Amino acid sequence: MKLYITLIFGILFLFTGIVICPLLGFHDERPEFLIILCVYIIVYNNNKQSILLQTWLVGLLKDCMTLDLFGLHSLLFIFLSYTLLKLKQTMHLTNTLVLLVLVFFYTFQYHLLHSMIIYVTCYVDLADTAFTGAIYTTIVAPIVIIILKIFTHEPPEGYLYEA
Amino acid sequence: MKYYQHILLVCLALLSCAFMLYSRYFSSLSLSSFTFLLSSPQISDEKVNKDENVTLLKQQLASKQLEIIHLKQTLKNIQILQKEISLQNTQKSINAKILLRRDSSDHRSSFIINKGKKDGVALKSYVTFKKNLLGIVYKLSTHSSMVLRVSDPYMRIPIFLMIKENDIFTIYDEGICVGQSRQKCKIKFLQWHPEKVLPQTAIVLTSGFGNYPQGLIVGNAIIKKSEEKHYLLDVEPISLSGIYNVLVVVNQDLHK
Repeated sequence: MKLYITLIFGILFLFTGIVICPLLGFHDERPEFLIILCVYIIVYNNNKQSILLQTWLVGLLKDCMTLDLFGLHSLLFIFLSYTLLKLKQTMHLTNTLVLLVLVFFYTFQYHLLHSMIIYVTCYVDLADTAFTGAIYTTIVAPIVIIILKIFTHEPPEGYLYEA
Repeated sequence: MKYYQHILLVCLALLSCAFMLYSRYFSSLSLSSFTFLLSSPQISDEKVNKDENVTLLKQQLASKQLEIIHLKQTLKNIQILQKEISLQNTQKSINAKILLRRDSSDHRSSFIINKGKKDGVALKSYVTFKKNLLGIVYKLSTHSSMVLRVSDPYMRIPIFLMIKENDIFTIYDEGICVGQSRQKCKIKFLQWHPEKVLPQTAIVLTSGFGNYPQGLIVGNAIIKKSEEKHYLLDVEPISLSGIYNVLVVVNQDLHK
């Protein structure tokens, strides 16, 4: 997946999350489209440097439109992508069910880490939203992955498998 | 993963940390300014002995006198509420339009307005709609600014809890309104008054401490459960869904 495609989809998904989701009724917990994009990049990309750079840039996109410390989300994204890269070395991740499970746990971990940071800095517990956020993201994930596959021409199954 | 991939990973992580440090220490509004609010409240338990009855009666008399003072203050506050918010000469108001109503993160609450540094907006300026406090300007750019909403977890607002007793609004007590995300806030550090009974709903107004002027509406308080010596007060601030134009009030004295 090329960098410019990632950036186009990143901006598109960012504004979908901010503008379109509240219009559809997702006010408090919204599906994290950028996380789905990150998982897709990690699973369907073979170049590790490119994966790291692209997930970091997707994190930076999120940082641009939030009041959190600039760089926090890119750090979280890169930390989670590192764990997925390690997992990719031992597992065949292109299976649809495995992909959905990955999206769920990636979102869940991301929400938990973020709520931990908020709890440490301002003593407000938001960990209860992690599960709902992960569920919403997993429900939306198949549609988003299909859209990404159409536009990025996914390589044949097994091509990216590393023994 | 090869060694240069690890180096890339570490470099990107360090770059993120550098961004965070920069935004943490070079931002004019530091989050550490709110840490003093995290200290726990002191709740004193009163043990009444028979021998101390006289002392207790004296204390009750004092508390009644204090109540009279509070009622006088309430009268003053109602007079203030009845009038329009009269902006002082030191304050400048700017009309702004809301561009985006949401933050990209689920846990934060913010919105973006179309006025920035070039239009005279400064950091810590408060944003209002009619008499409702919406938030404070937290990030500034040339033509737009990001506003930290009242319901953001980093928001701490000193408030008065106003209750209605016999068609008259009285101050119950002072407290601090803490944002809880998901368009909700909670009131913390509210003192327990055994002689007063809280109704089911109350109005939350800014007390005038800090950067906020006195008398702005923060939201409606809903008292869900009242246990012994403990209140659970949820505040519902005004929703942004029907709001298109807001007023940014810049305190020029503060930014000189």
